Amino acid sequence: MATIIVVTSGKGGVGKTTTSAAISMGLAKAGHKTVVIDFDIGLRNLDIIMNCERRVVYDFVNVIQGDASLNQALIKDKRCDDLFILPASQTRDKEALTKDGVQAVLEQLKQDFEYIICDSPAGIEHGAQMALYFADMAIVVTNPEVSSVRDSDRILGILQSKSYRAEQNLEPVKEQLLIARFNPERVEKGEMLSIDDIEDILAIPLLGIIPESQSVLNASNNGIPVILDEKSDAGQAYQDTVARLLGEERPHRFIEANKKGILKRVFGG
Amino acid sequence: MTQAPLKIRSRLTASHQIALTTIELDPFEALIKNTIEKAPSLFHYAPTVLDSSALEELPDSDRLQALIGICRQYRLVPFALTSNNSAHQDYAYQHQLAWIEPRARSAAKDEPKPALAMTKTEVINTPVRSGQQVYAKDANLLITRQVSAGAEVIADGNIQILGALRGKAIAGAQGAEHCEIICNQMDAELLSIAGTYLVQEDIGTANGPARCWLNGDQIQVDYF
Repeated sequence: MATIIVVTSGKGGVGKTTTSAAISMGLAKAGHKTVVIDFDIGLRNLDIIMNCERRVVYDFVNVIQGDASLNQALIKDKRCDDLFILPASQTRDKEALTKDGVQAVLEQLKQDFEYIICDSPAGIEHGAQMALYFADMAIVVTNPEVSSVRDSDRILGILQSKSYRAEQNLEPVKEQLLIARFNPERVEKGEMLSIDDIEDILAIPLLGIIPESQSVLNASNNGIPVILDEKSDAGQAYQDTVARLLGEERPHRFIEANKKGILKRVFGG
Repeated sequence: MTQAPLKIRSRLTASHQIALTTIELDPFEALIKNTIEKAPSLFHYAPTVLDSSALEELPDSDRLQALIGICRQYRLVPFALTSNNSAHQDYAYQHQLAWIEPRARSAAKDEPKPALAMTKTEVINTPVRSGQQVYAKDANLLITRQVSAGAEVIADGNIQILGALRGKAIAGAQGAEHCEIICNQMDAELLSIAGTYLVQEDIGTANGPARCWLNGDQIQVDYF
């Protein structure tokens, strides 16, 4: 039985697409057949991070409107045989997504895939609601800042009231928290919310903490999901996150501020 | 040429209402003087209604004239009497004062509505998130989780929150003044009981378990 996971946040620029790319790649690398769908219609994001933007012929909207078959639109990742990408259309707007259309595509994908990752657009209107409507699980991405946490809270409210599971009185969507761009030094200075503060406000289980890292930017610009950068702290944090998603228990890393030793101060850290 | 008929128009005029709390002349004068000193121009030849609701015994004619005299001395223009006791109407006419029906609201105060017994309790077992609103009609509201900033919980009865209250809580939404708001961590954006409200700035910075109730015309927040 396939699991539909939505990666969502409310606020923009917090790391949804980075997370979608990393988690789908991580699940596929672990041997689970995974597809990642870009719901951010009108913008180009996921296909760049996945480095497949030059291979897009048909997209999500074409499939919904019946202009192309699902197999024509799915792009197989070059690095991992178990990973597929369903890109977004850049020439349409979010209204092109219909509930029936999305459901039909998801039903078809469920036949072949173990995990279906839905990369949600920012905001709380139509596009974002389409992305989360059929979800079994939600990964709520939050930065350690008040506006981001507040918007995540709003998205959690929508998951509880406007998802398919809520409307049908089924078991509620499983909500998990992912804190991205976490910087322990700035938390110590009081410039960022602490993990405790965020957990206290959102009151959902913590799935992972991704440290703020230059490697995320580099990976994104080079079209590599950061999880493949095994040397970077962000890559390792995403690996932990995927392991937890698959039921493994791992301690949270990269949450303590580095005490810089004298050598590091002299030679740079 | 016939004379034009008298034109009568009815219109609402703002008037001050002065409660007769005493018929002793000196204390009454002191009261008027104090009040008028606070805003002299507001009372400059202002139409004034005397409210005799609080009096057990009505003043005799001379006393009433003296009271009216005091009002005039301070540039008020008393012209009418009002009271929750409709028996005072004849007294007003005897002394050539207009009679003004007491306002519906003050009449209702005379015989308070029996406090609605809220026997129902609505229970919410999920966090109330930012942007969500919960209304317990004719019932108390029990929330076993938190109320997030930007959320609104409303009940005609009491509100009890077992988690943190960070949003707005409105108890006694239909006007029941005995209602209370109780929460395990007070961090509210707004508290309201029977139409009286407190905003975050005025709630104070303490947080922790709190009980909020209506003390006169103010919400009192007790921390534990």
